[in-house]
Amino acid sequence: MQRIIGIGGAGSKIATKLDQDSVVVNVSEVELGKVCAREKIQAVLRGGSGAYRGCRMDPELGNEAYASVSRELESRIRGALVIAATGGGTGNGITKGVMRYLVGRQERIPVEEKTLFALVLPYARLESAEFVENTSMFLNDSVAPAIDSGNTGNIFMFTNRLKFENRIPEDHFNQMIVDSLRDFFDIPRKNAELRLVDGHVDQEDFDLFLSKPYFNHFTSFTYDPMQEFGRQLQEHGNPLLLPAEQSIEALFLMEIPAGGDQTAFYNLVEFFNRQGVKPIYSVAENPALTAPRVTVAQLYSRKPAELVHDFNTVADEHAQTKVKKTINQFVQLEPLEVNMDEEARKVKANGQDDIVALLKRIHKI
Amino acid sequence: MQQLERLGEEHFLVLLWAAMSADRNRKYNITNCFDDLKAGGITRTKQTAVAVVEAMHLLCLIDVKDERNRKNIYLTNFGGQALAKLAESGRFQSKKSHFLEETC
Repeated sequence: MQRIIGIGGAGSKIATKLDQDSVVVNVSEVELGKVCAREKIQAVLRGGSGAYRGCRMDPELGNEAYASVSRELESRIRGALVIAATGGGTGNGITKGVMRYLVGRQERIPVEEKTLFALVLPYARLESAEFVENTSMFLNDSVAPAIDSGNTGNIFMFTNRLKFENRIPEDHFNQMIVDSLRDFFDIPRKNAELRLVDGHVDQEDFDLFLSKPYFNHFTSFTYDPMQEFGRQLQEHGNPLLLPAEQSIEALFLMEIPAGGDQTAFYNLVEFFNRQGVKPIYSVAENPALTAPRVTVAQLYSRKPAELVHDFNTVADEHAQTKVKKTINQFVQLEPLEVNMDEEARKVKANGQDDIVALLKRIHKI
Repeated sequence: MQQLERLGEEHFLVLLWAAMSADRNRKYNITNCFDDLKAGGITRTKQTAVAVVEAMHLLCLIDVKDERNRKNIYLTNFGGQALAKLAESGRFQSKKSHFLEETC
């Protein structure tokens, strides 16, 4: 597996569970002291004020702290998996600095040096508005440009939804994320150690897949060849990750029991082909299993603006309720008469002129 | 003129968004274009978006350049003239590019 870097409190906890040889970065000296990692990088705020309370949930402070560790991080992130939560200050702010650095890189980044990101997003319905707002800004200001630059590898978008809906303790939830990641990153090892039946996904193929700058939704489940694969994929989507959108690329490992059906994988190939996707795959015999098991990863493109929209929809609902209460209490507004047909006519009349003016500005006509 | 008559809403929108990206000095790539066409209800598959872009490239209405792992779309002079004619015809309505308007 890649080098693991955990940033901020949540990122550090998950990173050190995933790999005790990980690198962790934090502003809070207290939080750094609580985790067991191979390397601990202490980020500092001006005036050294963050040692006890970190960035106080302020991403601006986190971004300020990035300057104190930028050199160490910029060398370590090549080919690494960076783990951070987006709701707070340190994980958000320092990761923003990392992404900005990647955006600024002009040279072509080799496959093996692409940085992967595992981001943990707050659950908008039940977590604080501050976490949600920090995340919205992070998605817009950092994730969007990073994806557009093409300089990152896969981005895994974890969500706290299951944690809050099922009231799962934090440590247990972090372990679920870790187990899920381990399962996925185990694909090349299984490809190498199990008896291959068809296809192959070696480390090089896997790294190439990981190097693509898209969101990655991966999941594992016991596969029933008698049932439609698409439905099973939908039912067994990874609840720790945001749901996948239309696949752009796909990869799967199918493990079959000894003597099992060696052709069931064609169902998956056909499913993805119908979506216009040619998956890369490996089918291997795993004597420890009694039924086929698939580990599937789908790469998809979703504009962070859409994710931000989802977050903002919840935040807006709260805000509107507050505003409405305030207005009803203090202000009597006159009803505003708007003729929508008239407004639409104005927009339509101006549309053609706007386009011609735009074309003249860019010297195309 | 014959070429213009054969262009559809999706072609008009790609030309428009390419022009807007140049106006705003923003790179606009095939993936952004696919997302905007999807948001506009034009298509749900990237293959269709790629086919639209490739057709317009072949007609010299746009240039497509491979830059830093992205295929960026640029309006040509010929494409600008086509866009002006299409706007004049009133056949199509402009649609918002979420990418250009929400991430600028």
